[in-house]
Amino acid sequence: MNKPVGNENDIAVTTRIRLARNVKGLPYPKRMGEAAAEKLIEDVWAAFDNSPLKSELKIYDMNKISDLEKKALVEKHLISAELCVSKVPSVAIISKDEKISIMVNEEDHIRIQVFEQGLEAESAYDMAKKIETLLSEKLRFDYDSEFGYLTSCPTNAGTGLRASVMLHLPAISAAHRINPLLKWAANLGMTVRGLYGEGSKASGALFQLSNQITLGTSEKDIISRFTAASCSLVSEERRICAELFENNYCELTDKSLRSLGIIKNAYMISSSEALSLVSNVCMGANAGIIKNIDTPKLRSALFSSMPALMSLTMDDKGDKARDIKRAQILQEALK
Amino acid sequence: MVCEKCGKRPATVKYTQIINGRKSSLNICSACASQESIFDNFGSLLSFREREEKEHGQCPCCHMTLSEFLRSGRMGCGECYSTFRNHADAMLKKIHGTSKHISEDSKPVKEEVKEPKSEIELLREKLANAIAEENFEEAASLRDIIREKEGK
Repeated sequence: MNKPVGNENDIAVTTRIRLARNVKGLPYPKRMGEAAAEKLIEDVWAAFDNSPLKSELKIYDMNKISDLEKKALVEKHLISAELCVSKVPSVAIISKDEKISIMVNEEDHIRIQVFEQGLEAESAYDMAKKIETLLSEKLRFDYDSEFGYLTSCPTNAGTGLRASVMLHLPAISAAHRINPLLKWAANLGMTVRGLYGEGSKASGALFQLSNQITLGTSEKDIISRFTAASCSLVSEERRICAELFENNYCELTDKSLRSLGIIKNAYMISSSEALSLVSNVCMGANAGIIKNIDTPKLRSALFSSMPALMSLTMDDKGDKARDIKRAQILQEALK
Repeated sequence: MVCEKCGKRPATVKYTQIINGRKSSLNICSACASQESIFDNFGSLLSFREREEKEHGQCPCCHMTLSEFLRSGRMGCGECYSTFRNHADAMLKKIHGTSKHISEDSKPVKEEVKEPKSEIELLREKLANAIAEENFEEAASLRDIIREKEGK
């Protein structure tokens, strides 16, 4: 596995850019016919015919792949849960390196998603735009001179652009500073929500920041404001981390080293335990207590050890076997 | 109380309808009530739906009605944005603070670009308006200008 690289990747895990587009004259997937849905899938796939990208892409038919495969794709954030339950035929076109995922017939006809390690909104947007241009040669997107690109839900209309970044904020969560951040983000036209947990109580301190406003500002503006907001959250995390360690040096040093010890030596680790252990270790690394560990690598090991993904690679051998394997995966990442 | 429909006769009938928990009342006179044939339709959900579609419109492309759109907050197709333009505009303003799209680089590749209207087209429009307003003097002079320009 290549070593993940990216801006601020000690705290910013992955950036995702999503562009929503619809084809003119066709009802949205919730109201479209089966034949039209199948035709659209064919057209989208055919749009890549003359592109070198095609050899990198693989098509996943939601009616053909197993529930477990779907779950694993959802866990990797490559597809949404909504795509799996679409009333009409739906597919995801995913690149081998899993940096590109195009959902067809989800809430909108087409959702182009591009993923990058760390905070890399600009390059991810450029790639998404390239794919959009390629598709627009075959398909005519619905565009209104006043409202911009039209989408099923008006919350996406205008640019259809949603930028989001997964942030690992163990210090901010430990200091219970999440709620003021929600207000701060809302004032900037951004939203913060917890991953792997309800609302602000995200286990493992993983949060997602994304732009809420998609209309009335240009794409470039959205990207630069989003990047600025992400950077302030990253520096806030670093600041609070330093502050916490200054005030509770012994307790936190002990906590992060103890967590590292458990990961290194445990025989079984459950997924929720793994989330919090990795969180503690990363905080120790950010504070400079734990040295010589590759936190992005440890985090990607954590994500690849989430339940559905593991069941897929292990033919679902049960919880215990998964917990044993998870401990091994995390230990491998520390080597 | 005066009839809320015609505003002339006294209101003698209080007409209340509840659709999906939304109650609306109308105080009208008996003449308006019979004209509206409200009571013929009373109790028939289908005709309420038809009335609603007649009054508020239905998308010609995906057949979504206004109430369906307002209930779900989702559009059925791109045409819905035109059918329910005022509502869409208000909703976009509520969500984004504006309904006017600004873009530096998202001009669609296959968007049809409307040519600016030519001088003659503008004159013809003026001529049509003048005829409609029975302003024949202006119409005649506009006609002459158009002839002259076309002759060139």
